[in-house]
Amino acid sequence: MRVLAAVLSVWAAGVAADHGTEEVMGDPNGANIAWAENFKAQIASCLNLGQQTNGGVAFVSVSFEMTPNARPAEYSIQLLNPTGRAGEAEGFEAARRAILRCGQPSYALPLDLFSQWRHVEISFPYFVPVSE
Amino acid sequence: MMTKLMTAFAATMIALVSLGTVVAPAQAQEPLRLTLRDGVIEALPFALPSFEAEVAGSEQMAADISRVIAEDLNGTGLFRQIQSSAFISTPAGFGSPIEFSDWRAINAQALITGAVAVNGSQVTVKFRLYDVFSGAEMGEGLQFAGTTDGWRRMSHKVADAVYSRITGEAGYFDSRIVYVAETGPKDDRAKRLAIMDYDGANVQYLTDSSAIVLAPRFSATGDRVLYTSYESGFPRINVLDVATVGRQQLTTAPGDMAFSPRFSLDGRQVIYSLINGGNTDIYRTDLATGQNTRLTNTPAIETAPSFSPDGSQIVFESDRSGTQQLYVMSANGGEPQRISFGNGRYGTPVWSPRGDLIAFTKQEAGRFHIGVMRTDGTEERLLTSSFLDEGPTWAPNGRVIMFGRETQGADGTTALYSVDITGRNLRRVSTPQGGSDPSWGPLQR
Repeated sequence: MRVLAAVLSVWAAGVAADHGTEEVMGDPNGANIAWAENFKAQIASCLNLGQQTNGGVAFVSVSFEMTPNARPAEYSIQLLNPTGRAGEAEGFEAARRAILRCGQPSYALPLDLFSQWRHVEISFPYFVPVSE
Repeated sequence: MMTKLMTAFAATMIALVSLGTVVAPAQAQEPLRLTLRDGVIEALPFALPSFEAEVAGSEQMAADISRVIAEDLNGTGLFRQIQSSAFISTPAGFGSPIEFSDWRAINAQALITGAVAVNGSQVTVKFRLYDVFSGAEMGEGLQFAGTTDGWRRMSHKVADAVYSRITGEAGYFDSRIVYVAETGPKDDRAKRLAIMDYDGANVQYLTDSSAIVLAPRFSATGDRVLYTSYESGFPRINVLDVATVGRQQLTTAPGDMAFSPRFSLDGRQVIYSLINGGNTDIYRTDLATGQNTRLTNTPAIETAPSFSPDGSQIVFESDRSGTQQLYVMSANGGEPQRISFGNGRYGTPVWSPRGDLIAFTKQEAGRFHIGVMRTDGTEERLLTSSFLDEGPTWAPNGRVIMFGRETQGADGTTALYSVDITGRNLRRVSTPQGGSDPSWGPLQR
């Protein structure tokens, strides 16, 4: 996975250089660009969902900033639009652990396209506990 | 290899561009928005350096408490302890700054530190829980105080707090099980009531083996136990006070045999089966007034009733359809609704303390299973399979089920097992002798 990410990073850098701009082929917010897909896969591999429950699956939206060397800025991680729903706080903690854990030493991202991934918002799934 | 990957990727990108789907100008201020659809389900690695002995002479208890906490967490299958040989450093003392980088390096996601002080017969336990990758404490430190003979309970309380803070669900470690302890050969087995910690420790016997006892059931507060006794030669229901071990026979509706009792959540009523004139139906007795109410009235065998947590409904087993199936009816009786329709026979239903599931025993094709289904009978899942599994009981948080298992043959033995509601983490519960008919009590106060 990391080899592929490195390949894509080099290739994407080449695309940016060819165009002479920071335009990127693909729509990051549609999540169908290869490096963004790879970024998702990296974080998903560190997202421990714990144990499945009968309460179904919900999502927490988390925003964070990245440093130019593709590390997450720990202080910046925050929960967006909290609802107070059961399990949300734990879902956010699991998301934060995943962001930080897989960001070490850094994510495999095209460094030339820093402006594309400087600010990140990710929706993370979590299992909703069944009410007591 | 790299050339092939690059070629394949370039071809993919060209294809995407040619479809006109994905060219977008960069907008530096717009965040990159992504949605994850999955993650991994794995045990969360935690580090638990042996708790610090704050007072000389506390070393052994500090080690024992640390061990029990780790066993509790490991036993859930949700957590995985990192062996101390992997530690790069250990905290200088309770409350000392944590070198999170040392714990990140060994992939510990949670760090539990603590201290123990024994002064005479008194013991104090305090702990802190850290989220290693956030470099922050999860919740505030907690302290428990008690007597030295209650050290296991304090360990369980710490483990419950850790479990709860990480999962968001209540724990179940500081709870007890009442069950039927069994000794002797299969054709001459002595049975007596026993009570123990959820993990099999601290077994105490509540009755002797002079009379057969069956199916003990805790009250919701854990202070009383209902069970079926053959002291008189016929099955009758007894109520036992856990603290005093005093017991008395329950005055039921008139009948030949009474068995399979359960308390209502408020402990004021008991539901049970009664055989009267050869017919087995479900009855309810109000403990304060002694008033008896017949809840079913058919020629079929109706038994094993269990209240829903809100007390409004009762699930039970009946062969009124010709085979043993599960039914749900109002707590006041009335026409029940059949909820099991699969092959085989269903019995011993128990409503989850969360109210969302019903656990049951299923017999099919010569095998026994413990399973769960939603309260309307949908989404049946079989969690176990063996020669004989039966008698499920729920952990207080509705996450784990304990049951009895008997092995095949004349030398077959009985034992207690637990499994979580996803069917993972099947474990044998350590008991000094054989065991059956467990009933899981509430979290202790």
